[in-house]
Amino acid sequence: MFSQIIWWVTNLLIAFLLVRALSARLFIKYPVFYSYLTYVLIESLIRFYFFVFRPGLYEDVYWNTQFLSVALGYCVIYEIYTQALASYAGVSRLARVLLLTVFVVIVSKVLATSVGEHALLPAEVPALLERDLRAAQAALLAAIVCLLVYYAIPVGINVRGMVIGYGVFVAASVVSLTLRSHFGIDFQSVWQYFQPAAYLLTLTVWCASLWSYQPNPQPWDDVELEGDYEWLAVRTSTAVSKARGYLVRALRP
Amino acid sequence: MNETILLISIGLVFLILLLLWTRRGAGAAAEERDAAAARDALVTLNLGMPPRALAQRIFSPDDWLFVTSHTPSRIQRVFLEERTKVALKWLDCTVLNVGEVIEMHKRAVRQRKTLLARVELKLAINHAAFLLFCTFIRMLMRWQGPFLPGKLIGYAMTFAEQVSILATRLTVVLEQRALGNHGTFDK
Repeated sequence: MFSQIIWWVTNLLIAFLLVRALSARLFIKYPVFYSYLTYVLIESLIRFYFFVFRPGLYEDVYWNTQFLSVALGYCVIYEIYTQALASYAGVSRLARVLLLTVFVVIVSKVLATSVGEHALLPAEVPALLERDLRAAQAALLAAIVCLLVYYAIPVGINVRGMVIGYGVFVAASVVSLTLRSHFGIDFQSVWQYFQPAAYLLTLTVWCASLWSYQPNPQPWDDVELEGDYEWLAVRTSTAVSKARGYLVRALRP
Repeated sequence: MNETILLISIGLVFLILLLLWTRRGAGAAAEERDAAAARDALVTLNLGMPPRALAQRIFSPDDWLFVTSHTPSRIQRVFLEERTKVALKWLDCTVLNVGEVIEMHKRAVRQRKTLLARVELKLAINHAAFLLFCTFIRMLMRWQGPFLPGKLIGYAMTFAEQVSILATRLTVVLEQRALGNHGTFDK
């Protein structure tokens, strides 16, 4: 009963977000994000149909649609990256390199591991694969957040809400799927409530942060310094070395 | 079991990171800083450090030798506590000055298209090594006072440098792997 309530509330919230996106013209601003939400709603209805009328096929439908959802999640992360760093060409370039490296390293490891999971029961393999793909998403989002913090890049409430909402869901998925794979069927009863509850929290965050369009603040405090980038980098590096030398000479009178 | 702990740690650490970022606030403005002074420090390399004479006075062992040979232990203890506070304040001032230069660099380059990942990473590693060295010195000062033996300072310096070298080598390895996958590291 409780899980049905969560299911209905979740779908109502997604529908509400989509209706609001159409009325506030947010679909145009964040097309990938709202395409992902549209897919999630359709996926939910498809799963409901198979759960009620074709239960024998439900498990296959669940995992197939789930992996497509995970793949679209990577597109959402890409949209977050482009939206947050649109005005910061330098950091955007750095982020592209960092995210690509993280993506290639982790996803290669994930695929290599999943090929080798021949000793596991067939039902366990997709759960482990989803767990690892979600962990990769967590790493990518963490990299973006670290760059935003390191370069003190301000973001608007829309993008911040997307990051926090999706981040909470991804983190909860990683933890719950890990516990599920460790404890097995004993954890199933907790898992079937935990992940939907986390998604409900995510949707609540999105409803609050995506009510209307709030663009990212424009950079206002950037410094104009003459000299090219290499010159600037050398100056900064020299400054740090100079400070270290000053410290050592002071400490050894 | 190790993988389970690792993955749960990743999930929880990421949640904590999100929480901290949320508390930081949307578009939090930088603390009030003297931007002009920091810009000049970066351009002229005049970092605004406390005068060398002051540092020499703080860390000169002559005062300590005088105090230990002419005063009771109670006075020596008070002297050491007070001198340690001054030394720690001096260290904080040094760290802050360097931090302002780094912040100025970040604000100056974040919109530049020519920003290079490997250069930023090396700068970050250098700064982290500097902060690590200062952290060790701070711990040593709290433990032994400001009149540290040269050997201890040498160990702290060597450790911080080794961490820096290790981190730099790791970035080279990652760079080579990325080159192997994509052809170029910085596009």
